[in-house]
Amino acid sequence: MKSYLCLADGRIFAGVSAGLAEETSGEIVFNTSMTGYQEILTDPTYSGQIIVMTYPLIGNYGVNKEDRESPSIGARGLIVHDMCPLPSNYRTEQTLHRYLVDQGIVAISQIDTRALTKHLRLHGSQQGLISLDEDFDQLRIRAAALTPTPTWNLIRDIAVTTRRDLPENPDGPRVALLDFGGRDYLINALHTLGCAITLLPPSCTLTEIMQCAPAGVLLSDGPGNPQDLPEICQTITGILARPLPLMGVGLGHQLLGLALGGRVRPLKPGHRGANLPVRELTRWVGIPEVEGSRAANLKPMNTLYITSQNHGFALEGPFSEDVVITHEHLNDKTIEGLACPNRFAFSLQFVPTTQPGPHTTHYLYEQFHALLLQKGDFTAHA
Amino acid sequence: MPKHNDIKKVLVIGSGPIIIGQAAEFDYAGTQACRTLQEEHVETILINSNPATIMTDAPMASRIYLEPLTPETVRAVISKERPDSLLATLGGQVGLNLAMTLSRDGTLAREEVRLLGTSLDSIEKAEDRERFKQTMEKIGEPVPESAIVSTIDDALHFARSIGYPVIVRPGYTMGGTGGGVAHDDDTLTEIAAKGLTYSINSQLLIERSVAGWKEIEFEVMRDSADTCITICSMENVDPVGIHTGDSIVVAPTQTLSDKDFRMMRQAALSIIRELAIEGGCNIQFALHPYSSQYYVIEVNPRVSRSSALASKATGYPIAKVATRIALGYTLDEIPNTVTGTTTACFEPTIDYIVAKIPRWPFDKFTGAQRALGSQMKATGEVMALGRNFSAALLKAIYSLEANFTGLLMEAFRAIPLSDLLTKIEKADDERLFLVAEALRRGVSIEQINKITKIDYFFLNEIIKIVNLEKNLSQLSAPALLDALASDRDRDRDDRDDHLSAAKAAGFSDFQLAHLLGVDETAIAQIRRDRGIIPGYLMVDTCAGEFPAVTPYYYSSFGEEGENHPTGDDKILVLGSGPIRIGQGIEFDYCSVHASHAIREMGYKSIVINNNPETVSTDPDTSDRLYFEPLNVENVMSVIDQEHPLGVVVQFGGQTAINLAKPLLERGVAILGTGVEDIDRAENREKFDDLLETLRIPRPKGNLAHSHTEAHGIATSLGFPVLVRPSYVLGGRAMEIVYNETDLADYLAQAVRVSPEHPVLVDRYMMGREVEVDAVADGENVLIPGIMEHLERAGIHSGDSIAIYPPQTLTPALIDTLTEYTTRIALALRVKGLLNIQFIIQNNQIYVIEVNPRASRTVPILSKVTGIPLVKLATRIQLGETLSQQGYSGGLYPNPNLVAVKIPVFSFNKLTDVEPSLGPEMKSTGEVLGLAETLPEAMYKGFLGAGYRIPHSGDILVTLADKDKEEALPHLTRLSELGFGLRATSGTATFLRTHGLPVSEVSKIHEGSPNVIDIIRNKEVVFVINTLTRGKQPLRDGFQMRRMSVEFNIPCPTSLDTLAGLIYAIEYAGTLITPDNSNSPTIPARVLALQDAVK
Repeated sequence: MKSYLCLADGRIFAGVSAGLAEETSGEIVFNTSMTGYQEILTDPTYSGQIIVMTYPLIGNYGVNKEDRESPSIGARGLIVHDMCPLPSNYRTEQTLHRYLVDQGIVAISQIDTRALTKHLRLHGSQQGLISLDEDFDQLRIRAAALTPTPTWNLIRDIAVTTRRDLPENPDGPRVALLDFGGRDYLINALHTLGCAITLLPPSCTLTEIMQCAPAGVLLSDGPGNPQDLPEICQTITGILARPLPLMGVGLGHQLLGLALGGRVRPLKPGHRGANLPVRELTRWVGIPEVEGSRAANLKPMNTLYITSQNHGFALEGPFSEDVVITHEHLNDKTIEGLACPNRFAFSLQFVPTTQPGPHTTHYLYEQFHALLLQKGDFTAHA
Repeated sequence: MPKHNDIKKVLVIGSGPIIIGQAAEFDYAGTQACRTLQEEHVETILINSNPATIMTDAPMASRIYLEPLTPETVRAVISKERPDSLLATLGGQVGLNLAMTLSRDGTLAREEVRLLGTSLDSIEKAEDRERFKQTMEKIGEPVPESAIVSTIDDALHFARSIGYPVIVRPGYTMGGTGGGVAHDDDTLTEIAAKGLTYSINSQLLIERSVAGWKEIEFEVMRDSADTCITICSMENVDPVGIHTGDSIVVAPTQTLSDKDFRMMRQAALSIIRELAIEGGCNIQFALHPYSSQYYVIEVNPRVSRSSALASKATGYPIAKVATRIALGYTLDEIPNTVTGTTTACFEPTIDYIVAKIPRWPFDKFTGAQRALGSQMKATGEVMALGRNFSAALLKAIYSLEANFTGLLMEAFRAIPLSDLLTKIEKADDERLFLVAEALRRGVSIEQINKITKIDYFFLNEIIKIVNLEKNLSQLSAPALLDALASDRDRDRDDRDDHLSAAKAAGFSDFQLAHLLGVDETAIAQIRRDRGIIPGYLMVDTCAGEFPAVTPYYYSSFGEEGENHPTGDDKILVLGSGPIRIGQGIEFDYCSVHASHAIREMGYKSIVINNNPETVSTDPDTSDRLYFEPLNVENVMSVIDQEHPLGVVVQFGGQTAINLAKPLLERGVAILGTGVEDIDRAENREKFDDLLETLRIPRPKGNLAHSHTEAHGIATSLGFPVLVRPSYVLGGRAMEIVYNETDLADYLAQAVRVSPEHPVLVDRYMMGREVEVDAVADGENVLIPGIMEHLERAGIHSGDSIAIYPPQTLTPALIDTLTEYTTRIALALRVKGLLNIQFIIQNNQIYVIEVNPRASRTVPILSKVTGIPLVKLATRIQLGETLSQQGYSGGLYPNPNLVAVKIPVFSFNKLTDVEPSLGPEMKSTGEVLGLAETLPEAMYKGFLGAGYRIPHSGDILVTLADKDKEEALPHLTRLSELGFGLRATSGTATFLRTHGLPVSEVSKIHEGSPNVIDIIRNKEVVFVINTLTRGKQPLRDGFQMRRMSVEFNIPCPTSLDTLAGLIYAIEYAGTLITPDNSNSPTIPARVLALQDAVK
């Protein structure tokens, strides 16, 4: 069945319906990963977005229950060059097409994804719609009228709505995890390190956070524009005023940066893929033993990591507090990580590796864990 | 970390002659390395015996040693040049092995030479099986259960303990030489015996067979700061069991889930980190098809064939980056020249599929065992890129240049199904087409998967092609053409349109024409009318994420092009496609120089080629690179968009020259010698007329259009006669036949005679063979040099030892050769290069062949004379004259040096191939011996070609009756030199009669110990065996020759070659001192090209 992608700026790409044969709209973004379509689709941080896969053959190894990042698809739609109708892998449970239909996700294939990618590179990510409607004039009018879904709405749909104390590691240091949707891999990483976790909805107040008696707070990853979430920034400012270890990832990183006085600007196009090089500039190696010697605990680094990312905004200084840039993007030098030792806080734009191992960014979870364990020490100093 | 500032002078070791398993990829890597060193202002010293390479061109290094790659020579170069560093990871296994030898024997320490990049310890950890296993065990990376054995008994014992099948791999060999899969005690005994002789350290690895598992490869890089990245993943369509060099390979992996992909990637990174490689490295895995269980199969701690493929597949220049890493840079300090804005520290991501298909030499070696296994047999490969699997696969197939109609081979239609399945199971070079045929006949993919273990994904893709093919052939051609011609709404209907769909799937016009039963031009016309033309997409390392500046393109139908042709004056260079016997790296050399010359003149150069191993497909070589099949359709599509001023066809071998006429017919300007004149040189009848007019003799002969005619011509000429098809490449199907029966056999088996495809029947002249290269501008003809063959006519020029300058020709003969060459060049109105082969018999010169194009000897003559032949020829084609370039006509004076080209063969990789030489070319590569005198040059040539020049020992001699008298002086000389002669009864009797001491040896049927045992036990230092007539491979002679090949004992089959070998032995004798009398390769004096040619 013929289907069309119409961008907000009026460009139309013709293709074939490859998922639910209906209409969808959202921000059109491209991802350069050559594998991992299922993980990407089920990544809640893609909420509100329609994903263009730059790799042209998608669906080769099908879909299975194990490999999803969350139980449902986060993305609003999928755009591919070719969708494999006959997947081949020992773990395949269904075809990607079937899965998309079952999940109610609109997709389009037979698209010149390279031309589309270059268009997005040149003109920036933008809203667009996938439709079966052949009235191109109408399509263009409707696409041009699309507006980004407010971040709050995106988050509300994917984050927990009430406090949830997870049963694992009840005796471990408790982490209050502010959920903006991208929580699952963080939960896994922290559980592996022996942490207890309380999930909190994005709307929670500082009081509600403190009621968990957390050893630290983790700001999860999530979709959207952090500028849409001033209330959450307020809450973070409140956390920063307390001697609580604080870690942010992805959207959480951007929110922390805003709370520390920074700004965000849109990237054209965003960073979305599995091959993004990040340089570690500084490592926050320890907890201050006495007040005033904190700066000495920063170790200069020059280590490079290949990271996975999904974001359309970059954080920028200057910051109001003593903020150290710990990581930068190797190519465009955007901020990939920061630390504010005075406030026991740090954050990362990329997804730290959840599998433990040397030479990976898993050390960031370990760093947070170490802060949690030493909470008592610096509470005394604060 | 920036560059180490104490690196001032680096010695680079090349990989030597092209053999199966070690081909042009190392010229590509070496050239990138040399260029990078120059950019970094590091003085470069290069040693490589292969004259046909770009890297051995004088400007590539401050001193170039075209010397044998032996430890002795490298030692001599080191003590002469005193480099402070050695770069050895870019010269293949040869370079790596030499570096290890020199490090172990203390040379590097003594001479204070540091090994750049990966350390010796790391190399050994990767190369030494036991250390590799320990290293992998340490980091928890599984390796197949294995044991290192040094005896056959131990091999059997271990194999029984883990169970068959087992794989046998000899230590430190390339391309799996001497290895194999054993299914039982008997086969293991046989393979192990052979493997032990090839193994450098006399060890074998016996290993659990993981045949049938997915074969996955990763190209990985690491720098001194321990940053590790993967450049490219690859998946072999042919599962484990077939050498990756013989497998169809795709990039990136297609059937791995993200989870398994990450698992393998992580394993690859752990491995390179643990091995502490500084540079590039190739890691091969076997992944179980139905679980995530995997084994690490192999690690190559250097650049390789796969890294060349990965570089071309992704656009990431691995060798260049590896060189900079070796100099001390870290990945983030090295710019990504493709984007210009990012760095080398990232993992390329691609938005297309790459398919590589090997090119096998079985068209030349009709008797060879075509079955594929752990021993690589391909001489070259092609690569194609597409936006879907079928387009990449089909384009790769067309790049093989055999007029393929996609996956359809008409000849297979007649094969009974059961035979088809048996052939598929045996897995030979045609398996892909056989599988397609089986699927076409309705065999289930389950059954094919069961037999081949080829993943369902690939089989489904093949079915897709077969179904499309079926649909098309069921359409009535006129109805389809009408439908296509009708003016429907293009934007909307393109996707439904059969033609568009077929083109997007990669079907060629030729294939479509075949399926629809119409002419190819009709399809091309409709396509053009309908606007169904390819878009050219960029290879940019980043899937469009960043703007790219490297102009490297591939075609895709139904996509928006991004090549945006400029209005510049452009010249198109047609490359030579895959490396094959008869069309090797020399033509890539020529194409590269043509591109350089074009740019030098201020034009933009465009190159079309499809060989991922080569320098010509390095995007740095041209202003624009189109990675495409070299056929009319694909070349015309590029021309239609780029509108070059003209096309250069002289440098890409027969591949390019064959395109001249069809391109001209399509209105394309062919530069240089006119197409009509090319035809006058290649068309036998026209050529005869030309020689007649010029009153230049040629061996008598004629064209036969039928069997009867052939017999008639042969009878009138008298046997023996030389027979061959009328258009030939590298002497394909050329034979000397001695009688009526042989002629009848030849006509029945080797060729199909018809009025359209006549056969040439010529008198066979056993004369001295000479070849002349020339460059002409229409007025003047410059002859840089003449090369004289050591072997008399009857052995293909590519397989002959050739000497420059000629040693036995009188000035009068040389004058006549010059005169004939000049006359022919002027008569053919040659503009550019020309190669003529002559025979001299009884002081009479005959022309046997004229090639109106660059020849195999162009790189050699360019190097030894210092005349940039390709540059001159290119500039002539673009309108300059010789005199404008400072040259005049006539024969160029000889410099004070002798160059001996010695062919190199890969018989040890090809079971059942007859190693004796004849009119069909068999060599895969060549080396040059360069010295001031002939014996020294000969000695160096033989050393470079891998001969060990003996100065004592026994020689096994078996001669055909016709050769005995002639052999006598040679054998007398060998006897005088102190060699013992051993011979079979007939030869022994003859030698004894002539007073030579000889001990008699049994023939095979006479029982053990016989000739074969003697070779197997290495009781002789070489074997002299001349051919008795006929080609029955079961004869003793054939078995002796094969056995010599298997056990790496020199076996000249021509008395002329023997004479050359004796020269070398005599020369080696003069070098013997008490210190080196046991050395197998006595050091030669080393001579830099820059000193030899002023």
